[in-house]
Amino acid sequence: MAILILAEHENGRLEAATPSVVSAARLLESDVHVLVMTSEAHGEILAQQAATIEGVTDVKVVTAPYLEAQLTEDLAAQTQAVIARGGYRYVMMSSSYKGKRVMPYLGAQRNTDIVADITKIESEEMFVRPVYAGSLLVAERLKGEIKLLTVRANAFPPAKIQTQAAPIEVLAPTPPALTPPHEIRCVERSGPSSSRPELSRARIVIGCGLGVGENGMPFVRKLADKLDAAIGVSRAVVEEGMASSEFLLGQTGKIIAPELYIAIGISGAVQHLAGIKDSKVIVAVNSDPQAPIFQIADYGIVGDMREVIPALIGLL
Amino acid sequence: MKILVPIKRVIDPSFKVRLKPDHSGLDMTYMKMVMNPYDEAALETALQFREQGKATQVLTVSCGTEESVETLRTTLAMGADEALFVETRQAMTPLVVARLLKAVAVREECALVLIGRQGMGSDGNQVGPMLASLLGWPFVPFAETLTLEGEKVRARCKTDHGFETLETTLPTLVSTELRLAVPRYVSMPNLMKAKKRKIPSVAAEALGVDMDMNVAIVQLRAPPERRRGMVLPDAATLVQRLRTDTQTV
Repeated sequence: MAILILAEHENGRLEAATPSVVSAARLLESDVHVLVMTSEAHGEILAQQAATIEGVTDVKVVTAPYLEAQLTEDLAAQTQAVIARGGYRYVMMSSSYKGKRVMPYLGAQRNTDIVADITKIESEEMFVRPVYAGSLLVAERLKGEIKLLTVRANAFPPAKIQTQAAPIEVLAPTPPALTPPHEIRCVERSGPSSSRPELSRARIVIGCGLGVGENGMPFVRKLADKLDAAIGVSRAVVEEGMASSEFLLGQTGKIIAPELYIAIGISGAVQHLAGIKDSKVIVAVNSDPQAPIFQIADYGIVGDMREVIPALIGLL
Repeated sequence: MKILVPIKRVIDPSFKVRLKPDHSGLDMTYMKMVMNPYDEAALETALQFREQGKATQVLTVSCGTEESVETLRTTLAMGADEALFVETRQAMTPLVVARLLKAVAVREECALVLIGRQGMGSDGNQVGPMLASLLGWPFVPFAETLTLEGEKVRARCKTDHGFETLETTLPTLVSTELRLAVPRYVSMPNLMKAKKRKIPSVAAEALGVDMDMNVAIVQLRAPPERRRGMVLPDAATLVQRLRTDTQTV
């Protein structure tokens, strides 16, 4: 029996999450198939990338012009068609925004519950996932012939990329799932508004709280340039209209696990800590020695960021 | 045009949840329950559509035990026209909730469902897509802005890399981000008025849906605690520590 993984990609590039989902899948089955659903322009290149992930035994690729929009309904319908070919025990995807909309949709179509955002696999039907923003873990048992899971990618090490490639099979697309007048049109798409590394895959992330302020931002940017770091923000910063919600860290934003997280001017509300507490090393710079962030930081500096950060930049 | 807004009762997200010492469940001492903040944003948007004459009625619905009635009362105080309580003592998975909500949406002839993208706490992100799937309606996920002109729906939605603008037509299900709308303040007179309203209830069984589930919570666990580290005197010591102890810079 095999596992089907829905590949995630953007602009013809496979997302870093997919090799991590492959690692998770290999804990369950040795036969790991990756399904690439995309526009005609990107099908071949994405299939080739997926085929070189270590542990992948087969790649299925489906291309159609309307798959460019990556609508939930179409991705679910295509996946259903592949599952119907038989042989699958699990269907997996990362718990990205895309995974969060596609997998439950598919679950309801197949009349099965799913386990979302798993961080640990304990047996072929027992999965652990964080709830209450990581304040608790629940172990859930999922029954059923074909089990649907979404995986928190940064909880599993990415599988390596190798030179050897798995076979690629091209499948015919199913018709569009939605028909006029009830179709969905994707009329505009914007990529990340920053040229820095993406938050969920950056090796180093700098988090900015209200304590940084408009005046402090130039220092933060300089530090980020020096470290090739991504910049995230706390909810307060988004609420003040100082940053777009795409940079929000925490329970209601992005959940990250970089090698190094540097929290600047962030006090550390429960919801924020939930999003960053799986970072390998946490550094906090805050003028308030009582700030809750210091309770989980590996290293803290109590002081004015306008002095500490320039000093740091000078030393790096 | 009737809008359905499903409502979940959750632990106030500013509280830190803890397990009971024997790990049998959550320690609910001193915990405060509130309306799921994502659902509040959905309800506020629905109310604005009705006030702009784009919808005729806003119906809220909550599934579960009797405590949910109190949360539904808050929705009436905010301005919902009607509330419906779907009563069951049975544990429910997101799929069971979606089946119940589908029955309500069909019975009440709603054309738009606005639903919080996740329950704060369970953090599942499941009922919205499941309900869209069961209804067979176009699914507009993670909306940060939403406009409704006649039958036309347009939303700016969050993606993994930024945003996309989706357009569709009613009937539609939209899952909402917190930033979609700031919920209005509930005034004391409105709260008093809502207290006098009778909230109709229906037994889950009476909706004729399958209450079977294929996932169950087996165990609750406390995550490993992160230890408090050390406070360093200056940037130089920090850089030295990061270089020698962690090799991260």
